[in-house]
Amino acid sequence: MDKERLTAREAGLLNCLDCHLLTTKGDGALQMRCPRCGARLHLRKTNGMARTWALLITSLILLFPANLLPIMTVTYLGAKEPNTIIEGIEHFIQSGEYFIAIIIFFASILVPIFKVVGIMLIMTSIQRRWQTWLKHRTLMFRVIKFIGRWSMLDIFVIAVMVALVNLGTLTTITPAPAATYFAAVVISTMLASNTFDTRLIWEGA
Amino acid sequence: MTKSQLKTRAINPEGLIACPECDLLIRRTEPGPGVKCFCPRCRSILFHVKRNPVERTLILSLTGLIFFVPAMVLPIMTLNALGLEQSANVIQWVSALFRTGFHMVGIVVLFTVAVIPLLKLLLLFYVSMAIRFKADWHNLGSFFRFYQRMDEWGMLEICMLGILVSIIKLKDLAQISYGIGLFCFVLLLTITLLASVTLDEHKYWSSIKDVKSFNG
Repeated sequence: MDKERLTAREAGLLNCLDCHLLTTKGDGALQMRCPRCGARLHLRKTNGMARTWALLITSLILLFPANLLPIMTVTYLGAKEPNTIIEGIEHFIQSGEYFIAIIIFFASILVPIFKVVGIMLIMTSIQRRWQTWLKHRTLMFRVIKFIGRWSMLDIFVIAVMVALVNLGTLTTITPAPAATYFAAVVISTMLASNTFDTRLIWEGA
Repeated sequence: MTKSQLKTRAINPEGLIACPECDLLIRRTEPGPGVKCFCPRCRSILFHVKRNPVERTLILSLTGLIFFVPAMVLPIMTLNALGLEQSANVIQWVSALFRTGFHMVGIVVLFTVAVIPLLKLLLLFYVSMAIRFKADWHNLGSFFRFYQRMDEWGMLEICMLGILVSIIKLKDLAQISYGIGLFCFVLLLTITLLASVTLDEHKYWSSIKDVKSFNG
């Protein structure tokens, strides 16, 4: 990397992550606040690595019940049929809705796994002090952060179906335990990408 | 800025910005409308200058607020099977989740589809009004900061995709008719997306500083 380039940290400046105002770093005794927007200022996000690891491990554990337990129960003429996420995708494939099957497969299965594994890889690369692929790792994180929230899709599908398919003894749809676990996976992965500080990738570059 | 300059004099933050993604110090430029500035090192978008950002965002946030209540309380769609009928609006989605005992999922849906989108529009309207009319209203900085932090938790567009997926899932099971609520929901979603496209966060932050100095 270009040795002539200077970072805010090296220049003794704090960058506000909310309003992007640069402030000269004080003696460190006091918690500094941004003079423009009032946000707490830190050189790097507080305990970024530890918090992100904790949230990622939480997501990883929650991924198992979210995928293995049924996410909704369809009752048709008194017969209960619990469905997991995978079984829901199979239904779409059987009825020939391949496009929707692919969307659900991406949003509900691939994205959460890709997100957890992807951020874990980036964190490992930081802890091993790898100095290569910096731009690519930053780009990968940006993509992960952007697509992560789309995993919530399945939760909205359940909300719509449960409210609408409530036709007494004919047919009803109720949520099943995986719905709660799945919502928790999406929330904890979103929090993980917020506690992670991308500037750590570039430390020492 | 170079390391050799650092040795000779203290760094004055005036006229400089730092990349939020890689911490590189960059000299601030004032480009014209439509220009996107990238970090030369990590290629993150530093800022994107928009045309008439304050007026457009103000109008859009106000329009969004008008459509908010109809989008939440009017029926989105109605299901009809063997003479049995069931319609639902957004509030009923949440109450159905509560009724079936899934309170946590209900709260997530309530916040991502109703509470946060409403707060986002209100905050955007408040801050845009203050900037447009150079009013020194309370807590502009904190409010706009709150807006930015909540931004990704408003999930109207994802919910819309969810509605489309459920329509495809249900279309073989029963007859579906679309309500006026769906129309309002699509408008609310479109307006919210447009407002975040026209919003120029860089311009807003520099105006918030101006508002403070405007009244001493």
